[in-house]
Amino acid sequence: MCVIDIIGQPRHGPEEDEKDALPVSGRPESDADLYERLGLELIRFATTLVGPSDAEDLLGSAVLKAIGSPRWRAVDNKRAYLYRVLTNEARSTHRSRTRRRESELRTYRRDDFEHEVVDPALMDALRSLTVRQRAVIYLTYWDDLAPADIATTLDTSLRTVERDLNNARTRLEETLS
Amino acid sequence: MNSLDTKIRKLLDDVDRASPPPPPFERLRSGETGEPGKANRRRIIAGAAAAAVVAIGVGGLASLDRNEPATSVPADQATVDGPAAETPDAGTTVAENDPATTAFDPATQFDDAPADGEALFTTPLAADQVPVVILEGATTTYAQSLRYPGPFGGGTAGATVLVPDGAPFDMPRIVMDVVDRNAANGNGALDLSASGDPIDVAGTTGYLSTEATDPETGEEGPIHLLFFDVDPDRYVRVNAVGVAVEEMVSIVDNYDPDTGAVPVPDGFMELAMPDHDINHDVEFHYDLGGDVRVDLHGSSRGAEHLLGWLVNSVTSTQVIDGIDVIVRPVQEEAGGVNVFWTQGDWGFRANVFGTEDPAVIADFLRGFRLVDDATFTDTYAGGDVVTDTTRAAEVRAMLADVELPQALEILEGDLIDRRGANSRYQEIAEVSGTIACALLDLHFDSGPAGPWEAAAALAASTEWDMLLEIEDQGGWASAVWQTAAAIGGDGLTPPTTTIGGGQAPTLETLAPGLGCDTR
Repeated sequence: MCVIDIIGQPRHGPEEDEKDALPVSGRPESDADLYERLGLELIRFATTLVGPSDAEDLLGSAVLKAIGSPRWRAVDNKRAYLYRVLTNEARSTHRSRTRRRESELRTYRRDDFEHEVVDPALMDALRSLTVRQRAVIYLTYWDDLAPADIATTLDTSLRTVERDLNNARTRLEETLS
Repeated sequence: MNSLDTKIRKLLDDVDRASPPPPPFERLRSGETGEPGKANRRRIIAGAAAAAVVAIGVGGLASLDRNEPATSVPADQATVDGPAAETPDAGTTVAENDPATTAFDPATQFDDAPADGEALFTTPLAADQVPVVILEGATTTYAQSLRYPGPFGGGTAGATVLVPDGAPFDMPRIVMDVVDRNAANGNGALDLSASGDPIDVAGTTGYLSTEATDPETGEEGPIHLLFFDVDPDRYVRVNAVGVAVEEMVSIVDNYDPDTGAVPVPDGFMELAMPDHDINHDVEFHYDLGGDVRVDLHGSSRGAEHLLGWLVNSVTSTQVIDGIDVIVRPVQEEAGGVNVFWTQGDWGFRANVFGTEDPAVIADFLRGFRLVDDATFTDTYAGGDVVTDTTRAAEVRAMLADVELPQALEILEGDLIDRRGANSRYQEIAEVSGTIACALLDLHFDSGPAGPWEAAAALAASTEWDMLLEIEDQGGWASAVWQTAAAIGGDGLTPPTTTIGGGQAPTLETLAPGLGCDTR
């Protein structure tokens, strides 16, 4: 018997509290100011998607791609747009990396930043999820977004979000036990 | 909060503590993040340059990719040796895809793609997973993949659908929706009283027509069609099968036309009929030799797609390998059957011609295989086929001799962001159709400033290699050229062409001929 969902929730529109921020001066926010405002949460999201070692690179390429897009100026909800670009960019990176041979050496130009090392078991749990599942888990548990809002943010269907969330929880229940 | 939720939150807390600080914005712009050496190979398109590529072409009529060799390198992997370019060279750039749309990597089409050769019949597909399907033991002779915006006005999208609890395609079934009266629907002057016998419903007079049996199968219904006005601008349409009139009326009496809500009676469940912003339809034809042929139609509109076919049909569900299917006769040919089923978000209809043997039909269903582009191309015998792997390069080649006005905004994604397998004829139709429709829009929007630029560009379609290639294969090229002739334009003066009766052509009269309203 194929499963048909009972009627789903309607999609919500862009989050009302996240339009282009207008500082007191009333002038639109510059890209630099927007990045300043969102940088911490974006790097955190990037870390969830690809781990701490690659988060900075992912953030850099995603932000450049976003602000370089011809559609950037017309985007109403730039925060959601950036989350979407990060997710898509992580999927590309993820795919290319999984095709690389394990013996490939990579060198980094790194700041002298000593970040806390995440418990390897926890990182293994996160790595057991697909990139999109990680994004859905993050937006559910960190941002407390409802599935319909996640679907809007990631520009996907509600059913896809619900499926990803369900599958991710099932996988994490196995790996975190 | 349960223990799993607690563990997940702790995991994210740990990730937060492990997150590095975000690099300074200036360092992002200089490309100095990440691996050394990569900065010099990263193409940076800054704001001004990005704006320059919004309108295809630089300085008057310009060509797409006239000097750029076709390449299938995805945008996210594009590299430029040497110093990063701040400004694109004239004529070498088609506007980048929007990075917020899924960067499409043909090598790994799905996030959790089925393994090559996995059975279609038992693999749930998400709405954005466009299948490429072969049939074991058969030659594929046709492929088409269409991408079009939602909602789909010709179906049951957005309707309120009540079906038996646990049996989505059995009866009784009631479908209710609200129809707007307007010129586009062609129903502004529709007289409902001519559609059936008067009946009291929802506090007003409705009009009911009933068939006792299914006209295609002779199976006992009844099949009802009911209309009633909500207000001068809207009416409710009800399709009900296998339910007594009294029960149907009692349900419809409680239907809210403004919200689509209705109390769900015992024994029923409401079947979701969601709209999608983007829909995909696929079609494949298979030849097994002799008199047996199979055509497979699929739609990401899922159950809504099936109901579009079955809304007025008496249906009974059969189960094959645990999958609910509905089998109906094919009216176009004797001895053929239509088999309907849903698979995840997708709905499928297999037309089987030349046999009605249930065992044979079941084997066909099990024989559909989801394959990668290489496998599909190897088994395709219908001429040239365009797949996700080859699309970008082939479309860019199609555009090599297409000159467009600077004011025309088409992003590369509009022409390439299509998934699945298409015969080359269909692919050319999609590409040229998208461009022609955009030119029509520009022509009728331009006003006195320059309507002839768009007309001249469309007139030049008679020289487009892609249309000349398919000229003798079907009627599409002629349709484009006739549209071009209708708006005239030699690039020097505004067009003065009139159509029959001395009337000037309008967007409303020309657009449907190219399918513009569905692009």
